[in-house]
Amino acid sequence: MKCAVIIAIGLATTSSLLAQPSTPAGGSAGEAPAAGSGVGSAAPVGAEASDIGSPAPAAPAAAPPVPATVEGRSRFLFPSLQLTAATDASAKFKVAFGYAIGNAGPGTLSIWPRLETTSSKGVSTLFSSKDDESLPMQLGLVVNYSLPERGPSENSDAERAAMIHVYGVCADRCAADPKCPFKRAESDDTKASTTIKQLVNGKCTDAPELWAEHERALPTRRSFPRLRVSAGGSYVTQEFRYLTGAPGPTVLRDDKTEKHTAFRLAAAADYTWPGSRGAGWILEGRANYSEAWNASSTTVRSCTPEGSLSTDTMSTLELCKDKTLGAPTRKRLATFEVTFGAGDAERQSYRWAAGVFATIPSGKDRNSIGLELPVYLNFAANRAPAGYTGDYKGFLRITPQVQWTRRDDHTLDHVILLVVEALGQRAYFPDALD
Amino acid sequence: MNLELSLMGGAADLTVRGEVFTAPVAKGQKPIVTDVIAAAGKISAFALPPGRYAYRYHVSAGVGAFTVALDEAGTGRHIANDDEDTKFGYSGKALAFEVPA
Repeated sequence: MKCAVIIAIGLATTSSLLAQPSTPAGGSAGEAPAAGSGVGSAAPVGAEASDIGSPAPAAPAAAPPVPATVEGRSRFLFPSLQLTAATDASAKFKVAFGYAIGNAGPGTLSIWPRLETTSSKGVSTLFSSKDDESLPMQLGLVVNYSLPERGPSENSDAERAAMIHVYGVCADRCAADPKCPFKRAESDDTKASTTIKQLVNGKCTDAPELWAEHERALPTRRSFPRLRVSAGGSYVTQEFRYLTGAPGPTVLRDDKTEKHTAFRLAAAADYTWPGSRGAGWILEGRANYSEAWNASSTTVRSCTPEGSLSTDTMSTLELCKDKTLGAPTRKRLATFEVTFGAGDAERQSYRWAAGVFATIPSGKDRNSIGLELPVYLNFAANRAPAGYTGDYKGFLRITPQVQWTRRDDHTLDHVILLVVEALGQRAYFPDALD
Repeated sequence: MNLELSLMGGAADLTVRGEVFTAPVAKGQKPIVTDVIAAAGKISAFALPPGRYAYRYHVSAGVGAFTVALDEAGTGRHIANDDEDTKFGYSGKALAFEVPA
């Protein structure tokens, strides 16, 4: 049985939106356009078209509600950076540029072109000044689609009663203070129109927790999308230089060079259900197919005379270099993973899951199956810099794994892994290539 | 006046959805505009005569701070905005605004 512990230390930023005015990119029909009205020519609700641009009375309360027209507007998203280092010397650097594609449908569609480089020799080799040490950049593209939950209608009696209750608690707590902005004698309409943010700004710091008690009783997903689908691919071109010919007392040719393109295709999907006490259930499936080229593991040593030592003129020095013998080999690998678990739908502070995975390699390697128990813990949260909104968050992902592979003698080989990584905010619902 | 409601900031998938009411909002009062949605990649357009209103909305599919902005369509004239955060909850949010004559 093999055991391995991988500790990954990463720096990651999240995918906050760039806080700048949106750029029109061609509108389209709304998902539920108003009958008899449209963008640009929409008449004020309850008024005739000829009333546009002139004062008009407020819409009569009895007028039937009109659905808004939803338009697609594309915009850039804040780039995502991630640097990961591990105690087994593996390292990864990734930068992804987000772009939300304008669409009037019910979901959010975004694309993330990305550059990524990985190394098995430590962080310092990710970027090297030596040509034979620098690693090629992988180019990739991920497409994400998320479907938000359609919540209940506004101004429901239950929501109204809950807000009046929270307002009342806040008013009671500061009743002795003449500067208290909340008055028990206020009308119910005023109390119900107050927001939790206004209560907090009025020094009622308990208001969010009181409101959370109301929301925890609702069957809603809160911060979770109903469905999230991610698909993507990446490729990299690598050059292999190697010796040809049979080893032994013969002359090997050292001018053979091959270029190969390695690629990876991946897809992931998450479906969520409302839970209780602020948690939600998450079903996640992931599939991955990769084709990589690995240099031959057979090497020969080439040595040339380099004189002798000054302290030992009779010595004979040689300068030696290991050279690869044989062509690179192609390795195909397919992996599948399904997990089910729960997470914090209010603050996305934790998530756990249990699941199974399978790896199906090509060639003589054996198929494997395994169990895993990934746990996410939010360990960092910082405000975005001025000019941007949103939080920067970091997740610690701890994944114990057990993997079984059947040997030729029909016995099972066990591998136990413990992977600890630091990931960005999107890691709560990881992209297909993450 | 033709209006556009948009969303800035927040997580990439964060979406707000709500309804517009005449203000002040009374118990049992029905909205005058429904399905007012904003997210990265989409805005909502609607028209209102001058008056005082409230956009009541809730949040889904994201966590963190965000801004809901209401502008006049075409001219981009700023009408109102609301800096919010999911730390104040996901429902019961409101953007009060006045459409000038």
